[in-house]
Amino acid sequence: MLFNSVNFLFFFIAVCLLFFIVRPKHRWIVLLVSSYVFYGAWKYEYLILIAVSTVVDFLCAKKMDSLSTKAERKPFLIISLIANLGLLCTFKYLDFFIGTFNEITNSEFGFLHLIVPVGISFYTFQTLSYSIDVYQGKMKAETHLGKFAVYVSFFPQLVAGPIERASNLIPQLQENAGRLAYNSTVSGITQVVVGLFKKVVVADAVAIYVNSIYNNHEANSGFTLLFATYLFAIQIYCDFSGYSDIAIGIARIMGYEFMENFKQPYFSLSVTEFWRRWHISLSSWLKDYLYIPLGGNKKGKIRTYVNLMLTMLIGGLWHGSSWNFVVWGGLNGSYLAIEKTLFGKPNNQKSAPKYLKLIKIIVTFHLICFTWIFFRAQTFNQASSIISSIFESTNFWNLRIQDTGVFATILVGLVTFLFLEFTFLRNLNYKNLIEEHHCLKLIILKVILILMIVGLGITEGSQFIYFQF
Amino acid sequence: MRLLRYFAILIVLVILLDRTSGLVMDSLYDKMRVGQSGGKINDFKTKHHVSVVSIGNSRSAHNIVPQIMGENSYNLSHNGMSLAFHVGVIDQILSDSIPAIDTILLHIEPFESYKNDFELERDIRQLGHFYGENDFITARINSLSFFERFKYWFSLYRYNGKLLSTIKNAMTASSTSDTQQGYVPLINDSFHLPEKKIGVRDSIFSTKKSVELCDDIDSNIRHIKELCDEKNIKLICFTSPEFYTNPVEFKELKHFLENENISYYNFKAVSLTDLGLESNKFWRDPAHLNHSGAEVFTTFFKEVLKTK
Repeated sequence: MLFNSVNFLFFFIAVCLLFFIVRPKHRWIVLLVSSYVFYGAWKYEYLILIAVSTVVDFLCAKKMDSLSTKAERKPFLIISLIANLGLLCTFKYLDFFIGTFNEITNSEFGFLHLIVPVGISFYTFQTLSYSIDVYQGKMKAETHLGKFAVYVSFFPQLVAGPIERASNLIPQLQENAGRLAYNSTVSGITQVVVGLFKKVVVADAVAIYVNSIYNNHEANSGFTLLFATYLFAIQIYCDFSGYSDIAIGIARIMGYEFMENFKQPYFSLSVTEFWRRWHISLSSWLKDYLYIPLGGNKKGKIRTYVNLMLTMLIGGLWHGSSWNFVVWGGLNGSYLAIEKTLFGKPNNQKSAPKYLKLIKIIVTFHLICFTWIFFRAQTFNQASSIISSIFESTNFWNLRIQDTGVFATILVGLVTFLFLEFTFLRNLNYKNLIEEHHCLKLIILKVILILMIVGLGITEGSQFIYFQF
Repeated sequence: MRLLRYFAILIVLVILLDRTSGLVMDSLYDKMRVGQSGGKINDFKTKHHVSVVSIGNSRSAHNIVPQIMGENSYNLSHNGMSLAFHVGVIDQILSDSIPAIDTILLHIEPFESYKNDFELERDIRQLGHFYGENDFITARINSLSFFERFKYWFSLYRYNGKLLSTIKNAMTASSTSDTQQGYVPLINDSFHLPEKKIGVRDSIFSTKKSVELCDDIDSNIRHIKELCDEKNIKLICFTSPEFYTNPVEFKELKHFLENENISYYNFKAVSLTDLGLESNKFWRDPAHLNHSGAEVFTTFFKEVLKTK
């Protein structure tokens, strides 16, 4: 069941009605059942994986909570890590490891060809953070299995995040939050509509063009490939931030507050800043549960670079079981290490002259676009071929439009999106939406976006890119 | 209360603007005379009598020259569309008594006729403008999924995917008129022959030992045949030649059409030498003829029709 489908709309309305009708103390049941229905609609057999992950982490955390020292807690943390990472590795990475092993040793071990459960990387990281937090004594273990199960499987963020911290979401579930409040409903609906617009009008239309160019990259000129790469940068941003907007919006309508996942990352002045504004829930997870435990920047320069690189390589691998993603992570790790070497701690860049800021934004955007080539290409060879075509001087200036209808839709969607992003969304705080903007202005914005979704949106209900991770 | 008022204003404004923009789009749609968004269908409906109308995808749109096929002929083909769409077009044009039609030449793409993984029935949505007006199209769209009908609560949704092209084609309606009777010639530029010797979609015939016709072909062809019989229109099916493919007989398809008393001309089964199309100067690409090639092919096809 996809957020950008009519069936989800009916599903959500039904869940909302039930949610607000039942007594607050029983609302977790509505959320749990609806979350399992939501996931089961994709592949009900894989609900068992979520259930196993939930029960193991619940029991381990409860046990850890009853023990006073870290040494005593450690075995239970290890059980939780093995259970969660074991499932993740088996379903997502085993075939990748077998393939790599076969290539290195020239052997022929058979592949398992398991279907990767949707969202496994997201809910695994979410439950891991809970176990680690309880192990470190940062939070108490949840005593209510049902509410903990809702934390693991809460449908708005189950399949593609944001990767919510237990310390943020579990207290909200304990409080039986969820009043139908004017401010949160209006703000939530606005964010859902903006997210849908980003997804179906911009990302999905751009995807048609990008797919046709990347899938036939040999036949396209350097300029066309460069243009398609720029568009892919827009596509992945609108796709993923659109999903996050919808997830955050529908949770807010029900009275739950998720963390923001994107803060206009393409306006970043450096790659370091980009990673503070892109997929914030993952980058902060990697920082808190990987980079800092590895020693962060406290163990000397060399170790800092190694930690940075290791964190980004694992971050790359988290996205997919392919060497492309490892290269993508490695490139980002290199950027971060180079920036740290050249500029040290980022200065207060807000005081820099405007032209310098603009140059920095453009340079950062291009560095990130270069990494997207590896992210989007199917294989390393394909990425290399695309890069060499882009830098080839012969037959460069030739832009393939493909379908003029799709191209026109892309242009209209892009112009509207950039206008919206620059004038309205850039400094917008959805939580304070009502205080900062006139109600009628918000209604008009929504009406325009809804009509654009109806008239220009790709309504085939295409999957979100991040569902595969 | 405040929330109810908010929802009420939002819903009323959406409905008002949707209906208004739907009406504006309807009037723009009616103005169109060119293009795939409906202009060709509108232009076709301005005719009083059409002797031969060819309907199909790009391999019909670029390969059949109506001026050669006969006086008052028309090429009502739409690029990239499948049989599901063409059946809808035929149902729509036959729902009016004008223009009177003598013969329909329906281009059949064999890969669509056999079981495949393509979701070709979705093409009927391109005729969303007729949702609610044409029972057949409405029923076909509704059959795509239970939730499909709810999307059409928005009148603007009938133009989903072709909103901008409808506006563009309507705006240029006064400066352009279709002098080609629906035919879209491809210029005679040179092309490099790709190394691939066989079409990707046709590879199903070389990899599978036996092939079955898909269920849709039954219902689609029978529906067209019924309509044609009712209106006393001759229905002829054909398949355009391809540059690379070795002659291929589609026995199951041929057998099915014969059982339905429909003439079928498979030019993929005829050698290119016999067709006079063996030179690459007649081809835009391995699947489409250029204008010179289309003239040769249409002349050949016309002679075949005359003799049989």
